[in-house]
Amino acid sequence: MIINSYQPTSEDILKSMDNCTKCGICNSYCPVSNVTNQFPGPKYSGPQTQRFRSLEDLVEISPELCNGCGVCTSVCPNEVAITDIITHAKSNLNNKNKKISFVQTLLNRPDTIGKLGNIFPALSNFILHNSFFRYFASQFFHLDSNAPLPNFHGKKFKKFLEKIKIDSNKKNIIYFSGCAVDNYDSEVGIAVIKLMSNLGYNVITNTDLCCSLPMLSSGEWDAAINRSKKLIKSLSRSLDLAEIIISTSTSCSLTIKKKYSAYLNFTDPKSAQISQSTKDICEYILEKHTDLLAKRMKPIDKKIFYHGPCQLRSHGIGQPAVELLRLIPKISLSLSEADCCGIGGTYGYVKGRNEISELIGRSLSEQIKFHKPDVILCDSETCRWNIEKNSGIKTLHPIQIILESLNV
Amino acid sequence: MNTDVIIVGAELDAFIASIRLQELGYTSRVLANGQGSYLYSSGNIKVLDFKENNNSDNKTFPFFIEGLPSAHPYKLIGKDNVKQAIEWFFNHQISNKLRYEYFETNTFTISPIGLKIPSYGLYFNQINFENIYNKDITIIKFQNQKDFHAELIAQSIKQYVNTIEILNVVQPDTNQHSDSSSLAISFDNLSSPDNYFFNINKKINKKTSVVIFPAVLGLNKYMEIIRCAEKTFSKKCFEAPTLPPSIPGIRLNKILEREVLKKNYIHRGSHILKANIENNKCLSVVDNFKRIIKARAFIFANGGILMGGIKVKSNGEIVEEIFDSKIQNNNHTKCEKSYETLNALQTSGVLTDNKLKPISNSNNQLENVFFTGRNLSNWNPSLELSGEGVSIASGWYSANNISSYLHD
Repeated sequence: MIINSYQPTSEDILKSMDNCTKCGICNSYCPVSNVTNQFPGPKYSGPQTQRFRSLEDLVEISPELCNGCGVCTSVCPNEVAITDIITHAKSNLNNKNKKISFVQTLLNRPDTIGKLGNIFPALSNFILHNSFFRYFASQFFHLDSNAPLPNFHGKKFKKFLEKIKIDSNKKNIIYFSGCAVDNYDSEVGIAVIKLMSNLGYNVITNTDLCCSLPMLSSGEWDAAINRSKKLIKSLSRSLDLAEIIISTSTSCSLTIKKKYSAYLNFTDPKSAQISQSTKDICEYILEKHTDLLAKRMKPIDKKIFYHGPCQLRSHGIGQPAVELLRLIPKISLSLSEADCCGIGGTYGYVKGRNEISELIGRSLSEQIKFHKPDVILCDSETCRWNIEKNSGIKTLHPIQIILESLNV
Repeated sequence: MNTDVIIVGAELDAFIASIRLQELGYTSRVLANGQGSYLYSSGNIKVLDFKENNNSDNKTFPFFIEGLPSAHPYKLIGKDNVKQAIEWFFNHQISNKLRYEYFETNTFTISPIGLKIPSYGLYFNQINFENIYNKDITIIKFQNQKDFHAELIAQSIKQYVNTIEILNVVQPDTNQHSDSSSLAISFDNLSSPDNYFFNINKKINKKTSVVIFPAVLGLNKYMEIIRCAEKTFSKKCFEAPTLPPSIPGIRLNKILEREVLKKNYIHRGSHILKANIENNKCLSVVDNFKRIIKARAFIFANGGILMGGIKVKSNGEIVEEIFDSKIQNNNHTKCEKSYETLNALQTSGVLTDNKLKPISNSNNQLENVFFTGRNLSNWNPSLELSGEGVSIASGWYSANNISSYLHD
C-alpha cells in the first residue's frame, strides 16, 4: 500500500496501521515524546491504539499532545500514515467525546481574527502585545503568555494587489496567499507578486480564504468541511485561468495537496485537480526557473541560517528553498539540524503545551546561538514567528532573500 | 532537480555513496522511504567475524575475507578496494566526529544483552573488553529506563573483572523516561551536568576505577557530557549499548546526514515505483508522487527484503521489481514455508557483476545502475557480523564505479 501518494483517503490512512512492524523508529524521532512523558509516542498513540478505536469510543488525551509535525510519518520505513492516524483520533466527527477548548476555537479561526484585528491594526497590536492582556488571556482563555503572536498588518497586501496590472501576454499563475499573508505577513505576499511578475507571470491572487488547517489538526472537523469546500470552489474557478497554484505556506499547501482527501475524503475531480496543481513556491521555481535564477542572482552579504519546517518533510520534495539559495553566489548558508521548531501550528499557543514547544525548540535555539546568523529563513509562518520570538533575530521566507538577490 | 546520481535508500551504504560521490565531484539526491534503521545499530563498525582460534594470519583485515565464497560482496569488490574503503571511512571526518578508533584486528565490545561482539571500529568511549580486564567496575542504571539490562551485562563480564556493582541512579529530569532516545535528549537539555554527576559520584564505590553508562549520554552533546562525568568522578567512563533505539546508531545517522546535506539533498517519503530504461541505460525513475526523476546514474541502496529493495510476493516468490534483477537466495528463489522467510531476509539479494551492476532476468546488462548493501546476495550480515563493513565497502565502491562510468 502506498500512502504517500497524492490523495490518500481516510480509509487508506487508517488501513495503513496494518503496515506497522512495531520497529519504534517513529518514537525515537518524535520531538514531543522525546521531551515529555505525557505523550506516549506516535507508535502507541497512532497504529497501536487505533485498533481499539474502531471497537469503541475511547476517552483519551494522548492524541491532543501530538503536535502534528509529521516527523513520525516521514521516518517510517513502512508507509504507516502515523500523524494522520493520530489526527483522525482528534476529530470531533470520529469521536463523540471530543471537546474543543475556547482558546482552540479562537486559534482555529485566524482569518476571522485577522479581519477583526485589521479594522484598527495599531490598536489591535497594542492590545495583543500588552502584558496585562497577555496575563488576562492566559488566566481566562488559556492562551499561553509566551505564545508567539504576530502583528496585524492592516490592508497592506490588499492595497498592493490593487495596483497590479494584468498583462495578457504573460502566463497566469494562481497564488493562494492564505490567512497569514492576508493579515499578518504582507511582505511575503508582496515578495511573491514581485518575484513571479519578474519571472514573467500574471499573478492571480486568491485572498480571504483559509485552508482550515488549524481546525483539521485540532479536531474541529465539522466546522472545517464547509470552509474547505469554499476554498476548493474558489480555487477551482481560478484554475480556469491558470494551471498551477503556488503557496508560500508549507502547511497550507500540504493541507490542499493531501489532507482534504486524507481527513475529509475530498476525492472528487475538482479536489483532485487542485491537489495535483498545488505546489510550494520554491518547489515550482526550482522546477521551472533554476537556470534563469543561476544567471541573475547576485551575492548577498548576510550570514543566513535556514530551518526547513517539519511540515515540509511531508511534501516529499526535499528542501527546494536550499537548492534555490545555493544558486546565490558566495552565499553564507548554514542549515538547521532540528526536525521541528516546536510550535506545531497552533499547538504551542495553548497554555500547558507551550512548555513542551519550548523544550522541543531548544535544540534549534542552541544551533542559532552557535551560528549567530544575520537572518533566519523558514518557509512556514508560525515557525518564523516562533523562531523570531525565541532568537530575537529577523526571520524571512526564503523567497524574500531570493528577491533581494535578484535586486528586483 | 538536476543531479548526477540518484541514490535510493537512507542506510549506511546510501550515505557513504553520496559522501564519496561528493568527494569525486558529483552531486547526488537521496530518495528514501523512511529514516533508515540506524536505531538498530550499536554504532560500532563490524567488518567480519573471525574465530578466536584461527591461525594468526587470518586475523588481520582484510586478509580474512579470502576464505569467503567467491560471490560474496567483499569478493566482488576485491580485497584491495575493501581495504581502501574501510580506511577511507576511518580517516574521513565523519569518523573523526564520532572519534572512531579502529584496530589491526577485531576487538571485543559488548552487545545490549552482554554478549562479546567482535568489532573492527569503536566509537568514542564505547566499551571494549580491553578496558575492563581485572578492573573494579560500576555499571550505572537509570531508574525507569526499560531498554538497558545492566544485570545481563554484569553477568556477562563478571568473569573478566575484579569487582562489579550496579548503581541505580535518578534520571537528569523528572520525566522518568523509559526509552533511550528521550533519556539522551534529557542529557542534551541538562543545564548543569557537573552538578548531576557530582551527586552520582557520592554513591560510587571508592574502589571503582571504570564506570559504565548505558549509551544515552546525549544525542548531540555526548562528548562534552562523558568528559564532564570523567572529570567529576576522576575515573574512566564508557558507554555500553542499549536495546533499540540505539543512540550511537542515531548519532552516526545524524553525522552522515549532515555530511550529505552539505551539497546534496535528501527526499523523505519518496518511494520508487518504476524505472524508464532505454538501450540498457536507466534514464529516470518514477516515484509515488508521479515525479519523473532523471539522473546519469542510479544506486539502489534500499536495504533488501525488510526495507523494500527486494520483495516477497504473496506466492512466496522473491523478486526485485524495478529492474527485474536475478535473485539469489541459497539456490532458492521462493519462500514456500513461513520459516523460509527468515532465511530469505538474511540471505536473499540481487545478483550483480563485479562492478555491482545487477544482472537482469532478461540478461540485459544495465550500464548505469548499481546495487549495494543488503540488496546484494551471497552474504549474511547476522551470521558473519559484517553489516557495516559491506555497506561501507559497497557504497564507496559503487560511487567509484559511477565516477569511472561518468568520466568515460
